[in-house]
Amino acid sequence: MGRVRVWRRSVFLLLVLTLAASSAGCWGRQELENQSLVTVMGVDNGTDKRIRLTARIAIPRAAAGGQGGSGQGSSLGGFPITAEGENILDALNGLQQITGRDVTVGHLTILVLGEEFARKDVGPVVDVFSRTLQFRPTTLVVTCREKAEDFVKEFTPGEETEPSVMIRKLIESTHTTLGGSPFVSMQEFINAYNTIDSDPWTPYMTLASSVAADDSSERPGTGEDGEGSAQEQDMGLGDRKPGGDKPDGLKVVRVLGSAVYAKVGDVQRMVGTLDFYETMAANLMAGNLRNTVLQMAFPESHEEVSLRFRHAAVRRRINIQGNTTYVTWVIRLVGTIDEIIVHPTLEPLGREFSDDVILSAQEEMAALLTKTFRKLQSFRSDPIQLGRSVQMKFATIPEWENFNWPERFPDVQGTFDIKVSLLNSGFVYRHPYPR
Amino acid sequence: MGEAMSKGRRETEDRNRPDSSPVIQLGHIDGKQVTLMTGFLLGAKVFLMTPSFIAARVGTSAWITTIVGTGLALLGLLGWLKWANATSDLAFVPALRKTLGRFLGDLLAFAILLACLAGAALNTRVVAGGAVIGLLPHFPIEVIIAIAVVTGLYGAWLGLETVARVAVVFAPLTVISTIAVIVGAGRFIDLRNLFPFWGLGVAETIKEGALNTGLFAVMPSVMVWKSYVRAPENLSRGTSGGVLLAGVIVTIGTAVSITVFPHPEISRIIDPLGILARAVYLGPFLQRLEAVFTFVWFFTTSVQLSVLYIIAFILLAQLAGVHTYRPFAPAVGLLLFAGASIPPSILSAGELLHGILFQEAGIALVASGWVLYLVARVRGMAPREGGNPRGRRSSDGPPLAGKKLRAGGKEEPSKLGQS
Repeated sequence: MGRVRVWRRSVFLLLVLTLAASSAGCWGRQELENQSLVTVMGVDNGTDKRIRLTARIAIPRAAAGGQGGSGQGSSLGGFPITAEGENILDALNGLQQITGRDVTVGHLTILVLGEEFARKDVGPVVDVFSRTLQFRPTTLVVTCREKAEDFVKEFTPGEETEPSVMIRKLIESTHTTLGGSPFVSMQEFINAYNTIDSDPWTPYMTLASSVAADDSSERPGTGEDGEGSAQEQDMGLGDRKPGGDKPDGLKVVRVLGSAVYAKVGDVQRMVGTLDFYETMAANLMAGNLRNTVLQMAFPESHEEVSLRFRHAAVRRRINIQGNTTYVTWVIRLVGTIDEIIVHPTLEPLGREFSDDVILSAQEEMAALLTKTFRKLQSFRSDPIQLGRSVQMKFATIPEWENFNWPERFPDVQGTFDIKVSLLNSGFVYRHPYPR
Repeated sequence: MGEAMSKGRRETEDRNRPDSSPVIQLGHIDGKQVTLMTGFLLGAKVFLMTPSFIAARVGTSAWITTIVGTGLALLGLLGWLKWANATSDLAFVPALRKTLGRFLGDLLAFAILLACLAGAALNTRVVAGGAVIGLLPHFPIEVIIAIAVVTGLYGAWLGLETVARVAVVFAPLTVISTIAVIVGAGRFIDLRNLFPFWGLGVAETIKEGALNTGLFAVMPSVMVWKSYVRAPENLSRGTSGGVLLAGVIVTIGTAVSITVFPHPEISRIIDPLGILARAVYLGPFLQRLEAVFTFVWFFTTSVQLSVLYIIAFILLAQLAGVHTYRPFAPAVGLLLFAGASIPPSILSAGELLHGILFQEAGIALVASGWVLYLVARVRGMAPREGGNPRGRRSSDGPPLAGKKLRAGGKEEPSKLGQS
């Protein structure tokens, strides 16, 4: 009896030890110091092979505030390397051949698509994100105007020690405080890629000097139809020296607006860009706008007004007649006048001035929204997920698919019912004037 | 004093329990424990591939089909409960034999046993596959299967009452972790993805809803607990609540999956809630939170496996006419290990589950309760009116109430009545 008990206890103890040892990760362990953590990854068309991959490897001790590595890696935050391959994993294997550690993309935060690559076909980067374990759905996607290799290798992280953190914060801040950038994770990109009710879009970025340009927002980008192509070439002109050279000194990242994708033929690819203000308008139409600032000029009275919108309620009224969809965006904006620059001799502003600001804001916003919507229609791209709202009018999926939204989107009749409310005009009643 | 009264009350309840030979004693469970164990048994599949399979077949209305399926399953459960009431003085397999005759009764018991074993084996394969894909890519899947089987067997070895208590412990953990995932990944949820409302069509939705009754394939097996509940009403209330709980869990899980992965993207996803857990983001170097959630869900599935094993053991013991279940444990464990190791991929295991067990076979099992009840009525087995049977009929052998069997099948006095 005693032997049986001892035997049972021994077996139980052995079982527990086996479970403890095997479930604690002792099998196939991966030490952190043996891994190259890719945090920013750029994709371009390859020269010898299909894909050219550039990775920025994080240096944790540098990110933690200690001494960084040596040479270029330490000054830029992270260590950039490049390899080519027939697909993403093949190129990652190429990276593996030139690094001393295991290349892992488990912490990949930013995926950068070079514009040249994006205008061809983004398909090669989509599949691997939903199939390979290491890639994560929360990775943010951006498109850069230059080659992704140049972008990933040359930008400085500014105040941050980790480059990916800088880009993520840049996207977050421009999205939440100004609305001039979309906030798109890989999962959202794949969802839009794989459905007919919406199309992908990403923030559109470029390398810039540390002095912000003043004219890019006024220069709308266009599609590939050639219209305004000169302006598109000039987007972010202030980033470059007058001679067209790249900026010298520190190269920071600048958000230009958004890159818009659509299905063309059998592939999904970039078809155009929206500038900063148009992106804000698109975010508003999508119902994703939190805050933004509208600059308004009153030439007759030499006034300049900065209107900050702090809340936006957006509702879509959709009516389908035959093959035509009529959409009315009911938009209610609440804002404050944050700054007024007026002619020194102007009389104190009264009630009429607020009414003028409201009226002008409504007109300007309606014009911007109309222009942006028509531009998206010309791209045949629906990144504002209007289709996702229109599909609610259909009872079944076959009916919705037969409606053929991608073909109907360019013919949608869109109108805007905008009402602006002003909460206050700051701490003072009147503007300061010289005595 | 209070303790003595409590023991006295429990003793009275034990005497009132429908108890019959050859039922082994594994402890006693109350209605809430039945609810939770049934919920684990039928609802834990939502953490696996179920939402994808349903949504792939019917699209955006998948969540409606699970509601329809749950309603029909409750209807089927009503038949089983009526039959259980009509045979309340007998254990599960003896009751089947009395209703259908020895051959057909054993055949149906074997079918339910097979459903339990197949469900346990294939679920183990899917869980192990998910663990390998999501957490431990370098880990041999056979080891994970072995760990899952051993964990489940160990839970079953400890007894029904222990498993029930474990289910009570892990129920809030499972709920909290699931809510945390949904809230943490809430940015990805878009309710517009639930439209078009009727998916591939009204008729297809209703048809798929009827087919989804099969999701509750192993539901009849919970009737084996009729001999272990503290009071007969515990069985009806507990199982009804459990089926309803499972239906709510599966429906919410399916709806959330569709709102995050719009049609047809959902049809590409193997484990939607697993990927949703991967979408919880706290920072650039804090991205493996899914390990925490899937760790909890691993226990959820282990509880489910333990419940399935213990039901299988009871069925085997009753079919074999022995008073112990432990000799079956090694053989059943090996059988489950082999069954879980055979499917070449997680997808093939899911297809076996959702293509056969959770469809026609499941519907037949759920619906057979009404057949049994009708046969029982035709044979004059009237439902018991009020009160509980005290002890058993003389034809079933000596009464066992108040006695407890040891592992080897030897009777020992119940400790419940001792002061």
